Order: sequence, then structure tokens, then C-alpha cells
Amino acid sequence: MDQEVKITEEAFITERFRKYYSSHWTKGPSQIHTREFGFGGWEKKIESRHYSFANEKELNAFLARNTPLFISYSEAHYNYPAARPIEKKEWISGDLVFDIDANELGMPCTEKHGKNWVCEKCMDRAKECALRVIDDFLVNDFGVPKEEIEVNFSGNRGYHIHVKTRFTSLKTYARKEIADYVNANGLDYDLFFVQDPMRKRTFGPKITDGGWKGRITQFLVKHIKERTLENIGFTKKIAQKFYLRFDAAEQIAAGNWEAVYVSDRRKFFSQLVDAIKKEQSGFVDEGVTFDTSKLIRMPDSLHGETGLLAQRIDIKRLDKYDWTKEPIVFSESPVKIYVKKANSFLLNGTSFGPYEDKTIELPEYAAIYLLCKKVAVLAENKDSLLETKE
Amino acid sequence: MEKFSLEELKFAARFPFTKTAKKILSSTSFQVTYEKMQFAKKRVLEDLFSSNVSVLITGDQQLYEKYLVSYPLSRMIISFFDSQVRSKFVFAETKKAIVNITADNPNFIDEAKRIASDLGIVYDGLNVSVETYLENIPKTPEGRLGVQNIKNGKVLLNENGFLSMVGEAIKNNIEAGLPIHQDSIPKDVLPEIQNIVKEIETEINLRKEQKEKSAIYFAKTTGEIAPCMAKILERARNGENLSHFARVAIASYLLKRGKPIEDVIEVFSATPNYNEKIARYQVEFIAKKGYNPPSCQAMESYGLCIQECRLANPKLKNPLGYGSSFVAKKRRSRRI
Repeated sequence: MDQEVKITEEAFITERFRKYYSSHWTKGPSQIHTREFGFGGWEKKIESRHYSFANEKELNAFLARNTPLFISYSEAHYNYPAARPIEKKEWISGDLVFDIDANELGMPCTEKHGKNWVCEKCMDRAKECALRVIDDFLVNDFGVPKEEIEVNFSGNRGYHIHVKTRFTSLKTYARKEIADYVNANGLDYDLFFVQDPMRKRTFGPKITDGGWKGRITQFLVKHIKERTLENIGFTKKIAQKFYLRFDAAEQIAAGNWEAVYVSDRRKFFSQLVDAIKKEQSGFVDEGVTFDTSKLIRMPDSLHGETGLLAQRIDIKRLDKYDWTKEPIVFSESPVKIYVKKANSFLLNGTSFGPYEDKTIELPEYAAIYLLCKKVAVLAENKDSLLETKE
Repeated sequence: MEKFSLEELKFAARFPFTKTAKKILSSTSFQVTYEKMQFAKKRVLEDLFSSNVSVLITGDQQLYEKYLVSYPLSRMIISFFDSQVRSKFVFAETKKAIVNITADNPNFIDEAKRIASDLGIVYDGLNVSVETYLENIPKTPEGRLGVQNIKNGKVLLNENGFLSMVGEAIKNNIEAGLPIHQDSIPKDVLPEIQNIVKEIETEINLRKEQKEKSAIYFAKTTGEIAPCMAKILERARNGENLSHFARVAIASYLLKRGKPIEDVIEVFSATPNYNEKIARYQVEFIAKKGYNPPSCQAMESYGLCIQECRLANPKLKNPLGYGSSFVAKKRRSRRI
């Protein structure tokens, strides 16, 4: 009797991805001939790198022929993108890139569902952070016009922001400064307060200052006026000192932070910085911003961990972008799978799960989502999965 | 041959890394004499070993030419050395430029702006675009982007901030193009340059030996040094920028331990923005007043205390006591 040939999950997903790439034109990054590409498969996100393509046509032919499950490209432009080692590529310039991951935002839900899973709460927060990086830091502080900023869904847990017109010649040190700025790192007391030994006074930042100086002052003044210092971690005793001084907010706004006596000013300031960081920093992955040889997910490519599209988003409608609907490219056709264990998730307006040790029929996009997350197998492979376990 | 005014030549001699200097050098055929070669050697030796910075205030055409021509020659010489020696040269040349801008010059900011324009930095008053600032961001705590006054794409700098940024731009400019490949050095000067390189190599080795000997002497004569102070010393030697508090702490500590004023000033020579005049004034002031070093508690509140030392010496009140308690402990253990 002929033995039944079972299709593996890897082959199933690869076939679906191949069909997608064969029927869709994928837009490559700008100046594609200067970019290095890296590709990943079922086991690793980047299995091979140092590829280069002369144009989009070459790239699309490669995708249809080889069907990688992960496609990444260099933020950097090189003279010889395929050369190795890296020094031989000859770095010309590099886009400024920010990566915001929902699992790195310190959300309570992350502790519940783990770092490999996302929910609407942490994804909403990731979008908030992306909007903040764009509006507060890039547009307001750095003066980058919105039209020069590109944004895309990462295809999995967050958002990527690209600036391709400015800051391109910056080296690692300056890029690290940008990442630190956006993440509010290194905001030390000694750098914000100037001592005047002649008048025995200390001058602090003012509300009219720009950057973090102004931001921190505004933050404190707001909490004094609203009498909410306790909500950002200060003791009742310290909060009262600020509430009792009738003009505390005005004095601090003018840079006279000594108007209210606090015994340990350093500790007070560092607590204040911690509080503002939680509320107003960008939470970007610093390595992605400062590492000039980094490869990043190619926009409009499929993500091998979800089967969702790392979709380019019109920046004007980022706040309305629905990652649970818009990046879905696979069909509603039912696929029977066996789920070992999966949290609940929302896709295309439907809430799925939670599932445990269950054989079910799901729309293709939802089945692919679970197969890619490696929490499910095709139903026909259930026995082999159980055998492997035994 | 294009004509240049004496004023332009003077500017080029003081700031030989500028476009103005390059223009004068490329359009004028200066003779590379033995004297100019020796002056270039002197320049490199001064850059590598001296904490004094020579300021060119006034002179005649010949002197300006000598200063100007010695710069490209010294770049050729330094290209034969490793990156560590080269960075010392870059650091010293940068410092020289800053001192030339600021020394006895109440209008130093105008001079800084003139250099900024020459190096292609676009500014408006003391404001520069965030991108320009980042391209020339000073690598000091005060220079960090997070503490700048940033509004609508502009960094609003004060005079010191502007000068620091120009300093970094100067450093980047001096660094660019180093090392010069041997093939790019004119054949007629190459043999003499190679001779000078050998002489400097000998000098470097000699100094290294002397330094090792004096380090042993320092350890022998001063005994155990408090870890917090050792840390500040190490940071100063590594060219890190120290806070005002840390500077006062180490200066008062070393003076109280009997170090001569000259040696204490020398400690700061590798720190960025080092100005011998200011350092001398401050060290002498501390010596005159006889200030004690800050207490361990004060060191702790400024984040300069070393945790291990604090735990091992809970009764220590002042870093000055570290040596004596160490000696006392030793004495006690001997008695037992």
C-alpha cells in the first residue's frame, strides 16, 4: 500500500507565501541597488545575507522563485552591498530608523501573555509610541516634515519608522544620541541644574525651554496644578510641600526649583524623570537606531512569524490604522489545524481562542497566524506531533 | 598665483585645517626647507608630549608660513604612527585651535563663528539645525542631545555650547583623511619625513620607559590611593570630561597628600576643554585656601563613591582617611 505523503507546516506556509509573491508586485526600498538584503526561513529570521539586487524586477523574481519567509534589507546604502566582510561594502549613508516593539513597553499584559504574543492593549500602546516618536520628537523637536517620514507595521509586534532624507550621514555616536533622546536616557540632575556659587543658588530648567528641559518642567507644573504628584510616585509628604506653596507652579515654571524645599533634590529629579519616561518617551529599540549595519524588515513583505504583511501605512492615517484587519492577505477558506495552546487573538474583526489541545477549522489567515507562531500544526500532522512528544 | 592678505595668512596659520588654509596652501608654492621640516617635527613632538599649547598671536609673513606649512607636514609624519598616537595628535591640534580661538579674546565667539562658516556649518545667531549639531556633537555630558534646548528643528546653544560644537567640527576635520597613504606623500619630502618618524619613535620609547619608572615612584611615595580618587584619576587620564565637583575633589585630595601643584595640574591635561591657565588658577586657589577633599557622604551624593570601598570601610568619613586606615590596619595586623 502506498504511504500517505503529509505536507509539513513549513511547506504549507512556503506554498502560501509563494502564491502571494507570484501574484503581487512587491515594492522594494529606495535606491534598491545600494541595499544589502537578508533572508530567513522556517528556523531563523536571517539565514543568509549579503544579497543585492539591481532593481525591483530582480527582487520580485527572487521572491517568487525562492520564497523566503522573512525579508530584511539594510538601513544603510553601500557601494558594494553584496561584498563581505562588512568593511568591504563601503558604507555611504544610512536611513534613520526607529523600531517600536509591543513586547518592550513594560505593559502588564505582556507579563500575562508573554513576549511572543500581542494583544490589542500593547499594540495600541505601540501605536501611541510610534505617533509620539513622529509628532513629538521628529516633527516638533527635530523639525522633520511629516512628508519625509515613512511608517510601516512591522508585520508582527509593532511599527517601524524611517527617515530617508535627513540625518543620513550620521555615525553611530550621533545615532545613539538620537535613540537616547527619544528614550529619555541620561537625563541627569547635574546636566539640568546650574549652580551659581556667587548667589548660592541653583537654576533649573524653565517651562519655556525646548526639548526635555521644557518637557520635564511642563510635566511637573501640570502635576502640581492638578495636585496629582502622588499618581506619579511621590510621597504624600513631598506632594504636600508643593501644594502648600501657593506659587510653586509659577516658580518652577520660571526655573526657580528651589522655591520648594526638597531634602534630596537628586532623588526627586530622578523620580520625576522615571515618571515622565513611562509616559512620554518613545520606547524605541536603541540598537536598530544606532547600528548602521542593521537589517530591518522590508515594508510590504510578509512576516514569517504571523503571515501578516509588514504594510506601509499612510502617515496621515496611522492613528486609524487597524493592524488586526489591514495587513491580512490570506483568504477566508477554512484550514483544519490542531492547536497545542494559544491565547486569544483578534483578526479581521473576529476574536479567536483561547485554544488548548484542540482540532479546529479556522479561516486561512488565522490558521496561518497560529502555524507561523508555531503553536499549531496542520490537523493531519497531529499524530506525528504527538508521536514526537512521546 | 592668487594673492592673499597677511590677515588671511595669519588666520590660515592659526587654523591650518580650514578651507582658507587649504586654498592658500594649494595655490601657493611654499618651499619646504629644512627649517620648516624641523618646525613640523617640533609641532608633532609638542602635540604628543607637551601640555602647553603654543598660541600664535602675532608675527610676520615668514612665521605664519612656517606655522601653516608645518601642519600638512606634521600630518604626513603622524600618518606613520598607530591610531593611538594619531588620536593624541588630533586631540592636541584640536586643543590648540580652541586655545587660539579663546586666548585673550573677548570676542572669541566671532572667531568661532568665522571658523564654523569656513567649515561649512550653517548657523543663525548661536542656533544650528539638529542635524548640524548631531554631525558635530561634542562627546561630553554637557553636549548630550537630551540636555539641549531644542525647538522646531533648531538647537539653541549658548556661547560655550557653540564653541564646543565648533571644537568637535575641528576635530572631525583634522581627523578626516588620516592616515595619509605613503604613496600620496610627495617623493621629495618622503626621506626626510621618514627620518623624523624614526627620531620621534625613539622619543616615544624613551618617554614610555620614563613614565613607567615615574608610575612606580608615584605608587611608592603616595601609598594606597582611595578607590574613588583612583577612579577619577583614571577617568582624567583617559581624557574623559570631569564634573566640576570631581575636579575639585581630586585636586584637593592630591594637594592634601602632598602632591606638587604642577603634578596636580598635569592630571587634568588630557581632559577635554583643558585650559592650563584656568586649571592652574583653580588648583592654586584650592592650595591657597587649603581645602579638604569632600567627605565620603558628599562623594556618595555626587555618585563618585565606590560601593566596594564604602562597604569595606563603613567608618571612613573622608577619602583622605583611606590611606591612614589602610596603614593602621596593616600596623594592627603586624602587632598581632
